[in-house]
Amino acid sequence: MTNSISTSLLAFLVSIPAVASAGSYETVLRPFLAKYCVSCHGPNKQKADLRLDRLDPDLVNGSDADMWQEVLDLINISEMPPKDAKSQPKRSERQAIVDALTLSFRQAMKARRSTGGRNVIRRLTAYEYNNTLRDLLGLDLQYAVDLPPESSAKEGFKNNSSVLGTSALHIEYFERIARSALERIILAPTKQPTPYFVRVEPELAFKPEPAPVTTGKQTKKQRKPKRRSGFGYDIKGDHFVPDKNVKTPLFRIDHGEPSANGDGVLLAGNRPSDKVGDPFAVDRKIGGSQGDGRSGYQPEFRIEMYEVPHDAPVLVRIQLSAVPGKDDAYPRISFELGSFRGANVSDQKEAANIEIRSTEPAVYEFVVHGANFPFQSNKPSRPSYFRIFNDYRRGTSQLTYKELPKLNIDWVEIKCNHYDTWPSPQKNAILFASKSRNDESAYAREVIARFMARAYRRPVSDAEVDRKIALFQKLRTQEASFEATVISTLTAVLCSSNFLLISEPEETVVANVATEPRRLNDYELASRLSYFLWSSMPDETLFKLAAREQLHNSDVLLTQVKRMIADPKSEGFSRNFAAQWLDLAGIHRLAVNPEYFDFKEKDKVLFEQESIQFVHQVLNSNLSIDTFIDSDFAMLNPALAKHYRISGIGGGSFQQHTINKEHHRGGLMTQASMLFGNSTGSETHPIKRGVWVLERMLDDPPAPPPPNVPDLPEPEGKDLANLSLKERLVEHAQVESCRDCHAKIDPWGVAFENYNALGQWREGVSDPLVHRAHQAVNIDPSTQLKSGKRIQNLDDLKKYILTEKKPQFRTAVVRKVMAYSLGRYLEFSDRSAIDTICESVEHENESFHTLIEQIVLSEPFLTK
Amino acid sequence: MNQKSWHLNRRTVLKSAGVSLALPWLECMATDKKAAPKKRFFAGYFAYGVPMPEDDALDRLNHGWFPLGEGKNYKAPVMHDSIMPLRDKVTFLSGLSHPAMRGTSAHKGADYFLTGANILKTYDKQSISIDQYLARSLSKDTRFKSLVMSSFGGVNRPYRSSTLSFDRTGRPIPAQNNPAEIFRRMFGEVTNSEKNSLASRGSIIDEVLNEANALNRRLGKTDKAKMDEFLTSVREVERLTERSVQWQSTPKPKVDPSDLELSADPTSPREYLTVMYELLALALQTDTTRVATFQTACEEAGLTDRFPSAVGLANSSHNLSHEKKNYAKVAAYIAFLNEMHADFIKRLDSVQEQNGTLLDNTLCFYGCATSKTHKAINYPIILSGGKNMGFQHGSHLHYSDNIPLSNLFVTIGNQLAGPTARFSDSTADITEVLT
Repeated sequence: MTNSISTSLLAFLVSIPAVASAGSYETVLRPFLAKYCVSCHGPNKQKADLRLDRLDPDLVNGSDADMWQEVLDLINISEMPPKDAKSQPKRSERQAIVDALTLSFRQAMKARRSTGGRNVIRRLTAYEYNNTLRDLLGLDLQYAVDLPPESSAKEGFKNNSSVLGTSALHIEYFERIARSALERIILAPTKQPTPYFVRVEPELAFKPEPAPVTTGKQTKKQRKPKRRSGFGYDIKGDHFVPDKNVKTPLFRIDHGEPSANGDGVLLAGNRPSDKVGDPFAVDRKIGGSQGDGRSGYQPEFRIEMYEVPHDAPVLVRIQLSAVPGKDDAYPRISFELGSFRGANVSDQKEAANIEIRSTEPAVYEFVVHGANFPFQSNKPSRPSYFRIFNDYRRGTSQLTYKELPKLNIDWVEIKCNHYDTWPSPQKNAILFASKSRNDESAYAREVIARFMARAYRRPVSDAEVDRKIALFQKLRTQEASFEATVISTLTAVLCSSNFLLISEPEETVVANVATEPRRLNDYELASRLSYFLWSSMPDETLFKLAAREQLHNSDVLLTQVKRMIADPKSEGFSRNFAAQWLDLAGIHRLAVNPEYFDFKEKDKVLFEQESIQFVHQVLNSNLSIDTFIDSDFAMLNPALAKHYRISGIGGGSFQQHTINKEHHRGGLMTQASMLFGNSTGSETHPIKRGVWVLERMLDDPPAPPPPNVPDLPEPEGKDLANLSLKERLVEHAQVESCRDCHAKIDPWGVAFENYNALGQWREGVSDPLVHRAHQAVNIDPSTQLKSGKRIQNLDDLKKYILTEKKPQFRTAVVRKVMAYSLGRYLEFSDRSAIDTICESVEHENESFHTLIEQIVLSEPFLTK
Repeated sequence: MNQKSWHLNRRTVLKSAGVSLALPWLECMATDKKAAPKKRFFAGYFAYGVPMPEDDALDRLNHGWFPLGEGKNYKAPVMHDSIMPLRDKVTFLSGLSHPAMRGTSAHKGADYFLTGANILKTYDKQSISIDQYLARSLSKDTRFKSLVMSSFGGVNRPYRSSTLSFDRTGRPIPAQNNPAEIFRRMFGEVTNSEKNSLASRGSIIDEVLNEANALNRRLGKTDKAKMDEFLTSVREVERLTERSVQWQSTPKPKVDPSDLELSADPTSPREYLTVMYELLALALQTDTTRVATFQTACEEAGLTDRFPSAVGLANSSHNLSHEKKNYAKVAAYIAFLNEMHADFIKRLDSVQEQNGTLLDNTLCFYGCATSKTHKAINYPIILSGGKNMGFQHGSHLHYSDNIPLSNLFVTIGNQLAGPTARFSDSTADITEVLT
């Protein structure tokens, strides 16, 4: 990076301090242009209306930056000078120009976006807004789903002030979201809502007595219960419905058979391999598809309820057990809430997905909030429903019906309107008990002042409260009730710039005079900490420490950091930092090619989960940052373990599992999120993978490709299909200067060749997990880095990063976490702080906690 | 069949012909509004340019975008078959472009397609887009000033905009990409919560603005620049508040959503584009707005880059746009986009209004800001409808490469919004599109 030619050219092109020596425009660029370009693009001729000798070399303030980019691109891909030109630049000349211009562009971009190394006022990101409302109101709902999509800054972070715009549409949504949340809490009825309760004993379906209500076009004769198939029974269960006029709930079993003791229903995992012993064989066509990878029928169990209180907590209790299948195959229960949107249209969302291993009946119980699901039907005549099915994935194994694992469901209870206390704790927190409760205006002041202080994340002045009281009094005459007026006033608080923006105002402002950096006050510090580690507002402890002005004390700070990391809310850091650092959204930009893989799109979330859980594990257990590169454990759940072909992984949720060498896992780079996110959905994509490593792990992003370079060609034509991967890369980089750039990128990606597009291990001649062998070539991860270092495989590459590249990797992680913690681009003035943090991290055995603590104690974090 | 129809993939039970709707409120609105015919404007954008096979006429007809021949007797390439039933209501334009951006490197088209701004100098300093310019006079009497949509949503970032629309200060207007939300805002039942907000809305926004001003006075220079954005938005909401309160007490048009695939997303391009276009048609038909833009894809990696899957292609749309020899695939893909657009135009033409069809009262401007692979000249453009605003069709009009596209915007401004001397870098107007 300290190429002297480049940096000195830059000094001329860009007015960046700390880079010396002028005149390289004269020594490097101008001579090149004069020699090769100006004869066609100069005073005499202006081919393509382009005159290069007059382009403004100032990339920051000049007006020709884009034209320079064009020049760079054309020189870079050797389209200029044209092939038939008499004099052609030497490869080294070309490269010098490209390097110099590329670096200049990078620096110009930095100069243009500079905030002087200072934090700038910013809006809460959509996810911060969501979490802040969650903690402020004590109600965990999806508040932010309808907000316009957020953008990402150049290095991927969404909390960067420069990309957080606020439009009129945002304000419209902020008002709407705030009001409906406050109404939900405050306008709840005084009397506790009656539960809507259903209990279902599925064996009722197999008793012939109740005449089943049929659906569809069956004739009367066919309506007789078909005991053996268990198809399409609609049976009324035990229930309590608050309103007698509401239609009776019913349950329905499709393709379930009575359990052995006659006390429940068995639901098989779908897709038996043949018709042997399958009582429902007549109902399916082998190999048929519903478009989502499931074929034939799918056994399921559904409870349909009409006019449910959808906007309330729901308690679900199920007693069930497992009937394991062949080779220790266990059933998984998937539980969905949904509703009918039209005659043939339904919408549902999964609430739980658990592998069941116990063969003894056990009760599973959980609470979800109906508002987080598409649980509200759009007409009283259309039911909302709970749906259970066995989500066992057979993968490549060929199990017959008899061999498939089955869920044995004894009974199911659903209780809507499930409240432990009433009024809800959320309402009590806003409209709290007070002596002045009978004095409306005094009480309003207490209520509003308390809410404001939490919403603004700092003490509020009397003047600030006065304004809101004035608003309250004004609205009180128009609104129906005290509560309604409180809702409107608090809506104004939640639309306030003091709530929506993280601001660190000046103590004194002198017009047009740039302010000096200053220390954050303790409340500002509390917010910076909490949005860093929790993606949410500070809690009571932080507020108290801020009130006592103790928070800025380093010992107190460090204690708080430890406490905050241990708090479950630190999942906010792991989730959002990991997603943005590792570009987990890449998973959703790609579709899996069904011609290649037997894979359910919805399983892609496992990839995302794995990486988030992995970062969370490093955080929670204070592991070394080296763990990001290599680890002796993986975060797995059974479904993902199956995907990776790792056996013996039980349990429902993601857990830490020790792994061996033959599993070929460890560190972030062996995770499907990275491997799939940087594939084509069909095949591996070594360039993307290489760029990912350079950008994300080493913070050394390669220059973006010239825009006229197409993607790596898909191997469809016969000529390409026979090329090896390496040959295709060579094909891609036919042009000399491309080859130079790609020599810096591709080898990093080639080392991943043992992992297919879905991140599954492969070796030898072909990939057995791919349906159609598109590539009949040897899988060869050996490569040579630009530095000359020979790499045999990914293990080798990991070793290389953890030894020779260690300082660069460490600095990269520090810079990423720091940029995220500050919500801005890092600048030159941050360098000494970064160096100091890196030293401490190295000294403390690469501890991730040390890294976070040192960032929190650093000057940039503590100042505005 | 024992597949249970109720949980069939929703995309397979896609909407039939049209969507039923009722307009019970038209009369009550008509009382105080002048009976002048409604003028409407739609602008659509697709990504990455068009195939332009050279020389061989057959290849150009089979795989190219641009018509062969000029004037009324042009021959339309196969990819335009879908819109040819409306040949008399459609004009092909070639040659036009925005002069300031002709030399640009690619992928920035959506940024300046409707603004004509020179963003080379300023990176992100934009000027007003033609749709927003028109909205100032066209949308006084509608619930929404404009409907801004894109498949990507939001604004993304300068040089890779995911919105076509920029307000009068040049700030990007976030595009909506979620069909269900677009439907809710336009036609969703008014909730109690929305009713409750009527009384207090104006006072709340006043207070939010006053408080933001108070905060602004305490900020340093860099903060102030950022804060300005917040203030501008609140001011805009304040300006619109009276109107929105008035509209909130006006019943929304009744549209039955059960025939709409509102949960479609860009992973299923055909269903998604269909429902988005249908929402556009409904918005115009119900007079919910008179100005709408739709950027069908962003020139950036993402789901929309996979739209060619709609015609069974595994290539990314960017990849296709680089084809230099065999144009069959890219032509099939652009034909698909054209079909979606043509269905929309036909849909507008199927709606009868007092003085003709909805299409006759809607000027539709559709195209891309690059032609052949990343060349920012000679924009492929289809202009349709707007007969009652003086537009005539049935031709292929070719212009030389030095005519600014903004000249057409001047004409559009004149016909739709009133005297428009200039737009962006216009040098004149374009009268050939008029009767």
